[in-house]
Amino acid sequence: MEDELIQRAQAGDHAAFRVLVDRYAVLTSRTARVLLADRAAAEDAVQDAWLDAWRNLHRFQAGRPLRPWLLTLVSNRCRMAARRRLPPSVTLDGAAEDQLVDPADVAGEVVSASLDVELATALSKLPSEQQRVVELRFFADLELAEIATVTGAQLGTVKSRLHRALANLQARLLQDQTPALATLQREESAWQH
Amino acid sequence: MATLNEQGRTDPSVPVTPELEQRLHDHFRVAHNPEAAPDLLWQRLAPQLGGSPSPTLGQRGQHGVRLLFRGLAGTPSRRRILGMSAAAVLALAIGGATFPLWDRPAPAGAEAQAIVAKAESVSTAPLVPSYHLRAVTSQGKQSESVEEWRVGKGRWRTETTLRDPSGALLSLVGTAQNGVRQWAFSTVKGQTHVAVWDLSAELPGNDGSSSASAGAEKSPDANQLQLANQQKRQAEAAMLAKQQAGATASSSVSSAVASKQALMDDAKKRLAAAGASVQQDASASSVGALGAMSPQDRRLADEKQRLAAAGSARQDAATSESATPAGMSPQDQQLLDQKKRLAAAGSASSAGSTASQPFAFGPDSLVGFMKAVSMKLCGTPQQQGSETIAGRDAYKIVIVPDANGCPDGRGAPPVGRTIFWLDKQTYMQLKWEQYAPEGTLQARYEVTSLQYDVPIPDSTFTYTPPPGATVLTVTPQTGKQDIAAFLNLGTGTDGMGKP
Repeated sequence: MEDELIQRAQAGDHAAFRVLVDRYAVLTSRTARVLLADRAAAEDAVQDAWLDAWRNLHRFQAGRPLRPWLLTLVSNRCRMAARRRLPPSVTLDGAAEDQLVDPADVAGEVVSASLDVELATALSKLPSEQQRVVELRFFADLELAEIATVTGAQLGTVKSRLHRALANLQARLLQDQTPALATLQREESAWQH
Repeated sequence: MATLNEQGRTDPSVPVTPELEQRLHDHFRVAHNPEAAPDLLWQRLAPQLGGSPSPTLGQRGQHGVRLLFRGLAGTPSRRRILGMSAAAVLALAIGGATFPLWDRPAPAGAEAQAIVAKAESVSTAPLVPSYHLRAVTSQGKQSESVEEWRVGKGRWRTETTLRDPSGALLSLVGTAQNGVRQWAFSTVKGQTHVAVWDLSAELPGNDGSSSASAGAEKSPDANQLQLANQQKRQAEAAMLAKQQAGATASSSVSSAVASKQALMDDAKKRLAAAGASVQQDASASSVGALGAMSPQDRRLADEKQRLAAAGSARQDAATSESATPAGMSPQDQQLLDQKKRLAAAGSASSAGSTASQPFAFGPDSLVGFMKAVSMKLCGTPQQQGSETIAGRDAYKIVIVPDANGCPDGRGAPPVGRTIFWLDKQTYMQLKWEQYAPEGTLQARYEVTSLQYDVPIPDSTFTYTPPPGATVLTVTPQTGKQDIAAFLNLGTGTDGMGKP
């Protein structure tokens, strides 16, 4: 089924390509979101990766799995974006448009109130590479081999990082009932575009 | 006890409980919310695909030019415009649990100030010169107390404290702003960290490299200059973005607007369907008539109403100076006093600071509130009577997200029923409760005491670090995550090596 879609897309069928985009949009977006903390940069990286996919689709061999290829394209784009080392930013278009049309941030508040404070605190105490592996595994739902691909690390390294991260989390959650820092620890994660 | 292997599941050396796995999934889903919708991704992609995936020589050239152009000028779809302070404050303020909706101190970055000023300028909600409130907020087993003070648009302070059963302070987190100076502070286990910055770094003539420590209090016109400068930059950036995007590009702005429009349309439909359930109190404004107006008529009516109210306020103040009406209720007396102060403030405002101007809490009617809620939570809000919260009459509004999710492809919000209590006079949120989809109470917030129009010493809005505090002077180069990390708030890393 997917092979057929790929072949149709290779022939220039936009509708078939859109099905592929829809199918893998969450995977690619989440992966980029983990690799690039800046939301706008992550969205740009995903967009560029999909354009790369479209432009290079003629080279893709039908019958091979599309997912690892897409993840490679996404991680390449994220690395390029990270190399530019742009400062963290908030895009004007999204923020301004949201605020001007609708100054209320109802769900932003509601959603932020749902954050697991204890877990967030425990995660924040992990080394950054362990945090990333955990996020790629449990947010992007990548397999360990895929995490190795997108991070450029060896599979064994990924496994050991994930092992240490989970062990650390378990231990911290059991022993550390850290007080909540409710006001300022929320991510910029309003329920908005 | 499950284990993991290459597929993340069966390696005996990596223990992970199903509970932890579920918590991680849930946490990241919320922490990274909102996620990009596939539809929006496609809207951005489609115009750039061309006819065939096999690039022609011309297309390769185009691609090369596009990359070169991006390398020189940044991505056309996303202009990174906001300065450090705006980004940092937005990150800190927008998501704050004690800033539930629009009724909390506005984010104070220059860009954010412009946004909020614009939003407030089109609101006809009653103006409030100041307030002081105490509230409690709880999430799970944790309960914190909140205290807020605000005078005008540019002076506020909010503190959230957590204490143990004996009353000992476990943590205190807050923000304060006094004109162009802003502070974010946290005290945990006796250690205080303070981030301080100077919003005037965004003013014309500043190169953006000045630090907060160099900034003295600016003149009363500083905020106005700041706003004017930001608006100019915003207009220039919008023009530049449009030029860069060209005729073929589908900008994220337009797609976002289109998406927002779809949401607004959907909200209108929901409200129309729920019209019969909106039992507006006699004391409320003419919601039905406003709801039926066209946007143009609505703006005209709003303007007339504003002008009439302003005239009425001055007239009321003039006529009531010598006499106290007999039989006036305490609430009416309070309102009259407020009008007198507003009239006085209005006559002095031309020479005064924007920071001390009265402000509004957001949407100008119950319908406006319900529309906003409907757009955000994608459900049909219903008013379910009235209750008294902290001595104030409040509308009770219940919304249950639509099981079919939002019409713009966001899917269903990860929350269930949400109940708001809204001050009938000011539209300030006095209380809210948020339930999980399965029905358990997840979080709540409730104002326990509230005073409008109270005198508050100016010193309240200046944070003085205690001895031994660690102070971070924020510069335009300081990332929001650096600030969060400094305050020990744990927002993680940039994911690509930068701690």
